[in-house]
Amino acid sequence: MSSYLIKRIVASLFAIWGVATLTFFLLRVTADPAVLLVGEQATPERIAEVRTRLGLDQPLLVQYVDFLKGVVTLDFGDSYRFNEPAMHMVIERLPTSLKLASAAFLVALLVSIPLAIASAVWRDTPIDYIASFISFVGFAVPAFWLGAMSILLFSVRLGWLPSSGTGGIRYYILPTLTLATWPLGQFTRLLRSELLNVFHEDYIRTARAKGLREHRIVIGHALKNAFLPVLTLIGISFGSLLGGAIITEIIFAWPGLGRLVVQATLNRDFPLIESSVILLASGFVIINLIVDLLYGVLDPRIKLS
Amino acid sequence: MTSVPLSQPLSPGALESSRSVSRWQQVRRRLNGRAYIGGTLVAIAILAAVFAPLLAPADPEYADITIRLKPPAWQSGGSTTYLLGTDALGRDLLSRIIYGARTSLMISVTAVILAALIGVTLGLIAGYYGGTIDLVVMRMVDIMFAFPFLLLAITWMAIFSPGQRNVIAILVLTGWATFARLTRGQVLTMKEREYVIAARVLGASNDRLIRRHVLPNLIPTIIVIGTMTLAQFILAEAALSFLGLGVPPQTPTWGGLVNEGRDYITQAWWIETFPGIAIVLTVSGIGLLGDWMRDVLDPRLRSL
Repeated sequence: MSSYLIKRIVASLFAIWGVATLTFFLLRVTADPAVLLVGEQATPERIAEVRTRLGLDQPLLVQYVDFLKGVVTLDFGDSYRFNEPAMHMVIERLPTSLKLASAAFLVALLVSIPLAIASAVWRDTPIDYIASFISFVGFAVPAFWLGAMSILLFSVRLGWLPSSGTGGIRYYILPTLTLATWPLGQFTRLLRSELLNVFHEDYIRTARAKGLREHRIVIGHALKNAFLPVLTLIGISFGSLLGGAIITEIIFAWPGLGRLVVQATLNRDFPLIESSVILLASGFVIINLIVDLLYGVLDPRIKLS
Repeated sequence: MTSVPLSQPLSPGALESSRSVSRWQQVRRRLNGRAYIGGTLVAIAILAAVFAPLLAPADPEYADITIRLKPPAWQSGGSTTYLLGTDALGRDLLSRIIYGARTSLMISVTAVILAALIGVTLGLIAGYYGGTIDLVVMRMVDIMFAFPFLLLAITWMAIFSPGQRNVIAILVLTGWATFARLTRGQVLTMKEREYVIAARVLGASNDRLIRRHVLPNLIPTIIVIGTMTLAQFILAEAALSFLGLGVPPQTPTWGGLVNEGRDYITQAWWIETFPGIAIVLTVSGIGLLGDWMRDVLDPRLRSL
């Protein structure tokens, strides 16, 4: 167990290092942020001055070592544009994004679990068709279009809900539903098919033969076993949820990380980009590590070795 | 009893033909509603892409400011010349959507083929030879999975100028890992199968083993994963164009059209509505077709 844990942690650290290194070299081979900062008309001396101030005149290797120090201490210096500590700016915006992402996640789980159970138990009935339809919408409808259409309908036409900004719970409804659609569809689809597989297992037949109530069979026996693959999907979908969050935030003018990241990229604001990439990638890696370890706890048949 | 004795050997040719016939019949027998609807939707998208110049009623880039923001034909003020209305520069929306199919499909199909070639090759090598090369490839896969796609895409597109080639590059860069991981997994189990071991014992070279015994058995999986990836790539390309990070705006793309429509949402609902419907129908078609192919070709992938 402990040697497995160490192996997994080393692999996770390696993945974070890889993401960091890829980001670093991608950014450094590009056009010069100094030119963007002082403008095309600036004199070469002025540009050189800015380059020196930002440390961009150092040899690449020196910059890389500095950058790796930044990865370890989670400090990539000040944002070029805002002259504030970049990591601080990212962490400041993080809660706003996390609130939206967790609201969407919660909606997805709370709706998908009962929906998947109902559609597996009452297979080929209207409820099953509704569940398939929802899974399909999650698969085929792009979040940005769903968001745009919901603004068109509920904000512009009906005037029921605000189309942008933050505030009370009313501001959450459209962005949350937009962001929740994709994971909702994925979870429903996977949990339904896992439940249908589990229903054929011997222990379900045994439970039936014992005369257990149907709801105890489904919740106590089937759901427990069908949920494990969904757990993996939850870990993986976290990354996609972050991506979806960026788009959703832009559509609904949600003041979270998404807009900051896009602006930072367009400005070639290296410290801001590096801070957000490292933070988000680490979050993703850590969540997947936890999911892997949970697997061993939830299902003792899987030996972590 | 007149049953055929079990020990009677079948000639290799007989076995071959009986199997291939039954497989083909199996495919035909399993053509169902999903396959027909999916196939039709995909066929419409492909036809639109290939025959865009013949099908489009107007030049998609011809702008006439005097007819800007014309509503669709069935609304008051609309005309049958511009069936789905015009955009803010007075360009025919239907023609732009038809040409958009061309851009979207060209980018996504090219990217899927390249991603599959790279991913399957690396996955084959990693799974078959194991050792250091396996370790390196799988660590690279881990890194790609840990990199949030949209973040990588945004960074990439901001660095290299937006354009079709760079959109393809970013899709391939993020897409190959799925192919590599699944291929490797399949090769690992296949390596232990009797027919591969038998062929090796008979002295087949690695090259021949891979070509004749491993690769052919991977093809169903690759087709299924490729179809699902194609749907994802169409959505990803649309998302990039929507963010203004994809193909430059003068080339019509579905995502770009939705983005243009955002500014006119109160006056011209059609601009962002119709291109989105084109995306949904195409992705649905590919999804239905993919679902059906998975059930026929490789039911083990059902949980994907």
